[in-house]
Amino acid sequence: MTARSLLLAAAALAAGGCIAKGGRPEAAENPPFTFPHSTHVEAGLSCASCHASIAQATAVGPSVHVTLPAGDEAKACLPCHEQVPAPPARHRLEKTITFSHADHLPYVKGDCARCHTALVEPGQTKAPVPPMSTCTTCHNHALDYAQARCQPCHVDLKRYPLKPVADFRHAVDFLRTHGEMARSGVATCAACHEQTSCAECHAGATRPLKPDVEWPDKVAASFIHRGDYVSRHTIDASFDPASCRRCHGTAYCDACHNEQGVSQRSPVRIGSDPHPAGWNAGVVHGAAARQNIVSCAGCHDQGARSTCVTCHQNVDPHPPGWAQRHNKTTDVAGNSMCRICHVQ
Amino acid sequence: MSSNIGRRRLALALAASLGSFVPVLGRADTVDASSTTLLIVRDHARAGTLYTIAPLYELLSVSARNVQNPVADGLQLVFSGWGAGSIGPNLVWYDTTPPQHRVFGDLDLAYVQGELLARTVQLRLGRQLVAGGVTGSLQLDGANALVRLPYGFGVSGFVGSPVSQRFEASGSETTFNPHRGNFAVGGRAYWTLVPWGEVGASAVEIKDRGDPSRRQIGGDVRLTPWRPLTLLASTSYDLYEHRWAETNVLGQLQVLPKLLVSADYRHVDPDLFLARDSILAVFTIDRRDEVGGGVQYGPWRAVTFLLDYHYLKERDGKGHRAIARTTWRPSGGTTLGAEIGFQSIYANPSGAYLNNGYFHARAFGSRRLGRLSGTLDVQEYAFQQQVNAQQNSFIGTATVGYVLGCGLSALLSGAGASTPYYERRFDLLAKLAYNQSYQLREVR
Repeated sequence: MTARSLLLAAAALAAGGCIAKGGRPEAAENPPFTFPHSTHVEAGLSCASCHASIAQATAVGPSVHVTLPAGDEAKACLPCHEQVPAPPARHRLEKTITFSHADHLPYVKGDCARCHTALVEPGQTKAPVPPMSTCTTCHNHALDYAQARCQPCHVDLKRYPLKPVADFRHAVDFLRTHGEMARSGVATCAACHEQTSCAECHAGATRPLKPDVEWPDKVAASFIHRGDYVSRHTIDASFDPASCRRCHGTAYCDACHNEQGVSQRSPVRIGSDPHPAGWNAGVVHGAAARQNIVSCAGCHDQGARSTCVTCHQNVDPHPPGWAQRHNKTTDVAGNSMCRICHVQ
Repeated sequence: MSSNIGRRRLALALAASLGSFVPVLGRADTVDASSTTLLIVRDHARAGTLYTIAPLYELLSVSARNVQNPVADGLQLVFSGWGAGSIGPNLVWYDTTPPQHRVFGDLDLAYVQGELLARTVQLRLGRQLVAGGVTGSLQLDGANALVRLPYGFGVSGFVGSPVSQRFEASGSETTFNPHRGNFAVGGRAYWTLVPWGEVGASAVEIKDRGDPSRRQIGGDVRLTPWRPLTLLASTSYDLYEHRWAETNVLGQLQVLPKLLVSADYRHVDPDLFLARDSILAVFTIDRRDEVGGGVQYGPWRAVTFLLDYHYLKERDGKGHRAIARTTWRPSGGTTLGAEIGFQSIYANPSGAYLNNGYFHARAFGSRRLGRLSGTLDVQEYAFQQQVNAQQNSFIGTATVGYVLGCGLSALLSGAGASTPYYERRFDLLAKLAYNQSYQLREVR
């Protein structure tokens, strides 16, 4: 199978697979509700008049179990209505929790208002749902919450946009701090964020585009490497070399340096040596290397073929304290890099 | 490994990943599908010569969640990959085998995840990102397991091979993966203290064909001793070098509902971010300490101010980084923002090399009018010392977008720039994006 046919297969799957399955896209916009709940509540009608089947409902259904009264029960409508009106248009609701009204109604003795403190009114497009604090009034979910064990109560948090709650603020310089938060809370991140979201930046070994190239219209987002980063990358790399190394291996840097003709190993060399005059004097390049060896690795990390080896093979290159931290025998035996200079 | 074998592996991996989706799509509660087609026409300098290149990208992402099956709860299949073709010269820089191949691509993610034993065990297999603890973020071909134990305890572990681009360079010098190597194993044990937070201990070992690449242990803690206050700390120790690699402390305090203050400290030995079998790992010890903080203030509902400053202490020098940013959202469809910033490093007493910095200013805005939207973004960087004999870098980008409906949207973007490496540069991008979430079944 060629890569071209794979691309075609991928496109066909995207276009046809989802549609052919008969799935329907999530309703982006519901029409406004028309039923005035407050008028009926003030008239003294019980919720069960219209939501009779809710007492047997073990799941949150698409029609919120609306069954308009009929027969004798319809008499309750007649003081205001000449006849029982047609049921309002059904709304497709976001089904975001697993919940059994049948199990819960006995505990509140049929008093729906214990949980439903607000009801949807005409003109609204979203029905208010009881907040999670309603659940935790009776249920202790502290450990589940702390461990981000949202399922099975929450069906799928990834399906609807949540605003970060107080415990996980996406605030201040979140681009810099989110990594630290993820160290001890990656499961929490995963409760809302699919890995496809993380991969947009963190799949550095495979991803082809910078985020701001892929989404030039997201001007308010805090993207790393926005704009003309090529001109700034050496400055940022001097300021925080470890940050570069979290995502980019040497080969990533070297591939570009090679192709742009700024590496000694480039097939086509352009311009002058990227290093300043007198660089090869040990005092200049040695001092710079000690201050930022990671930058050196951007071009000079080819093991035994590295240009550093040529000169340093016969001169002790190790920093102070090296011998105290390393066992030469075991290091040389266990790391082929050492054997470039040291005999086993 | 020859590039032919690499391409064959890539084709097989893509085919297997896509093929596995077909039978399960209909069994999922929710399927998120995303497809982005991008045509970018831009100037591109290669070794001193200017070319006009036009790569065409297709990025595809499919996620099927809560797939019905008799074995696992919450079964999930995720695929994310891309393909690209070069119209004209193939000079996309990350292509390691130019210019013979005009069609290329890669797989970002392809995994299956499910929960077993009443959701106490979570398993994930395939190409994935593993994160947390001392591991940081690692793109891995392998397996990851999380076991939730009683009393808030838990343990997670992973094993596999760090991902290499286009399956062409597993391990060692040619992989783009910063954790170079062909074998990785690690994990984290944690204890959740309700309601205080979580403490964890973790370890990671990566081997590069038998040689040590990374061998570290670490600890982390997240505490909320008081609802408005969050404290985070982590540290890692390198077992090969016998010294601390990194320590971070971060505190965030919600002083007022509209005022958030943060402060942080970081110590890092950047040289320990090189693989231990890198020849450059033996030359030096590089140490840096950074301290700073930030304030986010939203005096009015639509306006947010952000200030952030950090001071860097390096062995022979120092650096500063500061940014001020404001965002105004006068209506749901309009955003205006501006930011100014400064970053500099003075690390070399001789005053020559490594010392540089920049001031930057940026203004941006976006407006949505029904299905139509537009953005404007201008950025200017002024360097303290010249870069490629130039003092400034300017780039301006404008976009026009239109929502076609049924999850489809189109975007046209144009950018003009004058930078140290391009006297004048123009980019044009045309994008057709499809993003849709399908609910295939009512919730149980």
